Amino acid sequence: VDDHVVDGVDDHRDGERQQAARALSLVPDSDPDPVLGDDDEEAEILADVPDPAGQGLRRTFEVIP
Amino acid sequence: VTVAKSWPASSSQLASLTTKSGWRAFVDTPPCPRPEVLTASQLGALGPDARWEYDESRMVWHANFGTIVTPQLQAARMELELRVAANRQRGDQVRPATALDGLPGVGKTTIADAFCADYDRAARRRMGERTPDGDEHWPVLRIGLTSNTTLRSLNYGICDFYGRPGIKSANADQLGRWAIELVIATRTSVALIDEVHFIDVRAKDGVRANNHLKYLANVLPVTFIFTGVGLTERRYINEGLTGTSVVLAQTARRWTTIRVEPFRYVTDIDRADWATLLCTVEEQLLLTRAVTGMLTGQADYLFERTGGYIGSLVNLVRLGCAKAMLTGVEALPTDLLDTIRVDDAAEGARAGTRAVTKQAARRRPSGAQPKSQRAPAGVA
Repeated sequence: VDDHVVDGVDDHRDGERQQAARALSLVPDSDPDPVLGDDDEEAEILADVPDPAGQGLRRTFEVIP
Repeated sequence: VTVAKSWPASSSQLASLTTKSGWRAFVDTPPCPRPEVLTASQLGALGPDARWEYDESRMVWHANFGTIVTPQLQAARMELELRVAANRQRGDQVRPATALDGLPGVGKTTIADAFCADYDRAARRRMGERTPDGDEHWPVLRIGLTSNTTLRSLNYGICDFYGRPGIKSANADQLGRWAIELVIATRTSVALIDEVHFIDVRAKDGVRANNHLKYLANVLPVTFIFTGVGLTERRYINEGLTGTSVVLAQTARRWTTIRVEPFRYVTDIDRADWATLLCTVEEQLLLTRAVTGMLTGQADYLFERTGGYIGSLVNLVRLGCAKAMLTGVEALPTDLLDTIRVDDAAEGARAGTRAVTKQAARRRPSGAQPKSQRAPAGVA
């Protein structure tokens, strides 16, 4: 039966993911400090923002609406 | 303010996917509209009714923003596309089936539904809403099995999907004949059978239901897609046979099992995928005080809470968002998430997943640890 099994995760490790993994392991945490701002703080637009390490845009999976 | 209070527009869109009207509504319902994100001051300026409407639309959005194309979904979709595309045998030949197998909460049904919805839309686009004989065209049959599935309840489920009248008093054989007629007349070409583990192949009724599924696979020009929990572990694929008798199991020869696994947290690639998932979810959230990194900065914590199960993660975040709105916190700091209980399985496994995240933290270069985000005392 094992011969029939397809491991969905292992079969799809592409270069892009490895690159992202390398970036993740090398990057010191520079996440923003606690999330509460003051009342008048503008809400941040989350899409298409640079990642905290400045390694380019943050990676996301596609979302099917 | 864009609100989604009227989404979905029709009550049929809330119906079960195991009837043709419910399935069609699921396939054809336009996406939920995304409300805009207000600033804290804009939120504070809303009157009670406008605030209720806005919160309502955000709750609806957080529960329906869409399906995330995870690596697991991508891999399974590719396999399903391949197998459905290649299954063009004549009616007298058995078409191999595919089963999505895995633990609860990994997204098997979501994956199968997303694939079948795409297939349904594409087939109707190409062939139209009517078959060449003038019957309704239903490219996908979708049924969900229940505990103690029998031959009759299996056939009943198929007839009920198509809305066949007079099925309540019919016996298993009548229902079986009608089921075959309906599948062929409506040119159904993919049959999704959800929760197939409810067929107990060690019980007499379960053996009959399983044999009937094999019979349907023989006589119907349809590719079967099954989803089930622990099919391999339950020896479902081997039809309960063991030892040298395993070779006699037809199911193992006719089915290909695609394992759907939870996210892992061992290698750098695992953790990058988890961070990507969190980033994806983060971008869907409509909390006034959300900031970049609100979830990715809590990657270890969120893995510990959910064990990498997307179902548990989505549940935790959805409940967290509701609480953040109701309490006025408008963000998801660790303190708030700590107050939310998720499913019992995730809560029960927390000690084990904590060990995994601790190991990950030890392997990480110094200074690279995600940290929890504690809100000031008393906020959550």
